[in-house]
This record gives sequence, structure tokens and C-alpha cells, in this order.
Amino acid sequence: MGWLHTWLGVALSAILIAIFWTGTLTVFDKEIDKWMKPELRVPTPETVALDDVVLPRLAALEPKQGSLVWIGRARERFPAIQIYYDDAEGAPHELLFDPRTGERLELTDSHAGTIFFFRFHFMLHIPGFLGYWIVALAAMAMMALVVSGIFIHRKIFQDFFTFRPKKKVRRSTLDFHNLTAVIALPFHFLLPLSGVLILIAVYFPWSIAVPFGGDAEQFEAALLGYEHQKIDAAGEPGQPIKAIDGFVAQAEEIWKAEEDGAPSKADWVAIFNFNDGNSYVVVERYFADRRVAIGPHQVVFDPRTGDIIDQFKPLPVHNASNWLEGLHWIQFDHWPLRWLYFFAGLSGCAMIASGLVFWMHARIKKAQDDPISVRVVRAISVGSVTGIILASGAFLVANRLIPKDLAFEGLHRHDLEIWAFFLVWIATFAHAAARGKSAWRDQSIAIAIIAAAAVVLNWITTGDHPIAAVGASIWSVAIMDLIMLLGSGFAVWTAMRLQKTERIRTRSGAQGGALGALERPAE
Amino acid sequence: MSALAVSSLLFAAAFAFLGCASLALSQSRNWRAVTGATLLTSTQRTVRLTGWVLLIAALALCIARDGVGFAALTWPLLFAAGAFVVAMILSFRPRLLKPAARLYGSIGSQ
Repeated sequence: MGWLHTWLGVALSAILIAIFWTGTLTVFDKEIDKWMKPELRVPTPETVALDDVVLPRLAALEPKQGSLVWIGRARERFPAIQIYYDDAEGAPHELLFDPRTGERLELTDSHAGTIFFFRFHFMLHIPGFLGYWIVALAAMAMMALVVSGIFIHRKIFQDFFTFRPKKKVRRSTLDFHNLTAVIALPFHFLLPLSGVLILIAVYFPWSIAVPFGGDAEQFEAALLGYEHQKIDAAGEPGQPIKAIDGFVAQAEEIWKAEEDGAPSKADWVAIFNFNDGNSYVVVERYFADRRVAIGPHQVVFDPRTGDIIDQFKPLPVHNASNWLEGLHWIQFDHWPLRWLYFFAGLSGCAMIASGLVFWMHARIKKAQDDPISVRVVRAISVGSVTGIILASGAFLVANRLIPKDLAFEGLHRHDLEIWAFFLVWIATFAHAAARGKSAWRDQSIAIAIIAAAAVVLNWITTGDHPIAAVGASIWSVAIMDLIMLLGSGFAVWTAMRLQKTERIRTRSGAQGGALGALERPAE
Repeated sequence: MSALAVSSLLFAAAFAFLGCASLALSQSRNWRAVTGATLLTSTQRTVRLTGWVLLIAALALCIARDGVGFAALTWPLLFAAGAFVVAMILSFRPRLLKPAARLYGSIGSQ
């Protein structure tokens, strides 16, 4: 068990921290979007009349006849109306509209939280499917690590609250690793499990092959409700759709009755076979507000008669997996729980990082006569922990520094920010290899500076410093700036502690001798 | 959030914290660190039982507030938060838990 835990941990710590860190940031991905794309800092009006705001503009855009038009509702966390449509030549477009005024929103070209951090979290920004597979293997390993960790940590209840910061660094690091692991054990196990479940069709294609004979359409109809897509376009133009608000209201009433009175907002409206004689409207809710379970709920309308021609909701057999997936998606309306997730995610990062540091110290002690391997081990440890945090800060700072209209030949503006992330991350590995032990302190100071810089740059470039943001009720920006300032302070404190430890260490000479009653692996 | 929603979650958090604190105090090592005295077996029983009761009360509040679906998430995370705070107190300022220990001590000695 000990051997398994150690070697899985060592091999995958860097990747696991990256997944946990970007996952923790993704809890607030839409808030990060608001920070990085300031055009989104608009308050959402209570009700948005799609008929007045969207339909006239849609008609003016002249989407291709018979195509699919997809309209995303404005929500509190994403206060813009989205329209995806194909133009007359069939080229796809995405437009955003301010829900209050109906004006076009030209957002800063940034992948921010909802695209960059979110996708990095499950596919590591690696092209193709390799990233997906690495994350899946890391998630499986994470579950094995949690279980094997329980076996190793025999005195799990006796030592439940144990943390001895004043002891030797290996002891206190191990204490911290055990503490952050056991207090949130269900979280650390369920998140990788539910994560793998969400992408089950990628990892376990036999889940479609066996029950549905590999027929993806049947699979979709049974589990995702796309039966209605069998209505083909008539090929001749029909009446343009004049009203969809009524359909949305009707659908929301149906869902409210199903939810015993809890209000259930629609997530999006899709118009199939646009402007065609066989056009139809699908109002869909995927992420419930007051439920953990996700899953498609659809009401399909015939716009000519106003009748409901089809309905879909998840089958009861899907309830358990929908709940498990929902606990990973975290799209429900429950802010206290969202914050608890954020801190649990940070505890996960702390758990993996402290495990890695513990192993690093053990390794360094054993390999005193092999300075190169010591450097490599330390470089990987520092780069994976402080390195990725610093890279994330660089991503935010780059967002504020790169002009909105900048683009090079073949490189979009959003690519430049991502380059900043990766270049800084690589640099942190190189810096750690060069600097050795003091790399931790150096990078802590760098994090403190970059986090503060991000807040200052937000102030300079948008004027929404925390006090102004609170005044304008742009809470997400104010709180994000405050969190970064707190993080900056914490990084300074960490750097000072590391400095103090360094001074004591050099004063008293090399630490040797027995390291106290450390837990030894069973094998 | 309504006042009821806010207060029920605050109480749940408080109960989770106090429950963890009690369970921690019910361990002799921690009791000694906080009070400097030895933990009596009779007191230990009371402290441990109260700790569990508090945790169950927190769970009940979570279920009453949001239903079982959410409570299965909020309660373990409130527990984790409470346990972390208790561990930090025990590591850095164990005397902060002395009032709780004193309360249990006065109950236990009756």
C-alpha cells in the first residue's frame, strides 16, 4: 500500500495539482470571465424579453434557412444573451447582447475561466484526446491514492486533528498532508469519481456500444432527449417566429410544477429548421438552480400552433449518475456551497502539494550525493506548486496588459494570454532548477507581486477597484480582487516564514539524526 | 438569501465546528493540551456524545434547509471546515478551546 501510494503520488502529483488547481479556479470560472472580460460586468435584469431583444436582431442577421439557431439566456453569473447561428453561407457565428439594452457586446477576446481554466482542468490543453486520457488516469490514480492513504494512515481517528507545525519539517508536512486529506475525504474521492463519470462516453465507449449497438443517435434519444431532431426541414420557407417568451414561460411553469413549486429557469432556447415550414422551438433546462442533479429537461413547441409536440426529462435510472455529475459541475444556485467547494479544492491542492513536498524532502535526504537528481526533484516540486499559481497570475496580468484589439498573423489575442501562462510556467521550472532551495521563497514573493499587480491593473484599466465595484454591485470583481490581495498577503507571509527557516537552518548547520516517529509504509 | 436561510446555515456551521471541537477535546492528548489536566472517563463519554449530537444537529439543519440532495454536500464540507479550524486552534492557540473544556468539566464533575 505504501509503495503504491508513494509511486502513484510521485508520478502524478504535478498533474494532479494542475487538475485540482484549475478545477478550484473553475468553481468561479464565470466570475473570472467577468474579471478578464470587463464588458460582462453588467447587472442582469430580472426578466429579459427575448421577443423584444433577440428576435428582431435575429431576423436582421438572416440566419441560414433550415439551420439551428441557439439562444442562451442571460443569467446572474453570465449576464449576456448568446446567439449561435449559421449565416447564409453556413459559417457559424456567436454574438452576445446586453440584456438590458439589446446592444451588441463586443467582449475582449480571452479564454478566461470558462474556456481556458475549465478545459485545462479536464484535458490539459493538449490537442486530441491524449489530455483527456491523462486526466482520466490521474483521476483513477487519485481514487487509488485516497484509498491507499487510508490504509497507510492507521491511526486515522486518533490523529484526526493532529498538526504539529513546530516539529521538524518532514513531520509537520506529513501532518498537514494527513489533515487536509482526512477532513475532506469524501470530497477527495467523489470529485475524481464524478469527473470520470462526466466523460464516461470518452473513456468507456462500450457504454454506448453495448446497450445501443453503437448507435449514437439512439443513445442521445434515450439519455439526452434529442428524439425531436427527426423532424426534417420542409425545404420551403415558413412564417418567421414572432414570439418565444410565451414558450419559455410555459416550459418554466411545467418544470416548476415538477419541482414542487421551486422556480426553474430555462437555460437556452433552440430554434430548429429556422424560417422553414417545419421549424420548431425547444426550450431546455440542463442545470437546475435548486437541485444538485443535472440533466436535460426539454419542452418542444410548434410555433405555428403554439402546441407542445414533445417533452423530455431524464429517466429515473439516470438519477444517481445525474446527481454525481451535478456535484462535479457545480452549476446550482447555492453560493455558500460554492465557496465551500472552493476551499475544499484548495485543501486538495494543499494535500497533494504537502504530500509531494514530504516525499521531496525524503528523496533529497537520501540522494545527498546526487545533486542533479536533487535539483530535478526540487524543480518538479516547485514548478508544480508555486509554478502553476504564478502562471495563473501571469495569465490574469497578461489579460490586463494586452490591448483589446491586438492580434498577430495567425495568433488570436486569447492565444497570447495562454502563451503567457505556459511561458511563465516553464520558466518557474527552470528557475527552480537554477535556484535550488530558495526557489520556494522566490516564487512565493513573485506570486505576492503578481497577485497585487493583477488587482492594481484591474483598477487602472477598468476603474473597478474593490470599493467602486462594491458600489456598483459588481460583487464578483470586488471579491476576486480581495481574494487576490489576501492571496498576495499569504504569499508574503509564506516567503517570510521560509526566509526565517532558511536563516535557522544555515545557522544551526545540517539537520541530521533520527526524524522521530514517522509513519512507515506497511511494505 | 432569506434571514432563515442565512441563520440556519450559520447555525449548521457553528454546530459542525462545536461538534468537531468536542470530538477533538474527547481525546486525552487534546484535552491536556487545552486544559493542562487529565481527561476523566466519565467526562470523555459526555464530551464525545455531545460532539456527535452537535454534528447530527448540523446535518439535520442542512437537510431542513436544502433537502437531502444538497445536505449530502454541504454537511461533509461544513464538517471539513470545522475540523480544519479546530486543528488550527489546537496547533497554534489551544487555550482558545478552554471555555468549552471548562463547560464540559463542570458538567462532568456533577
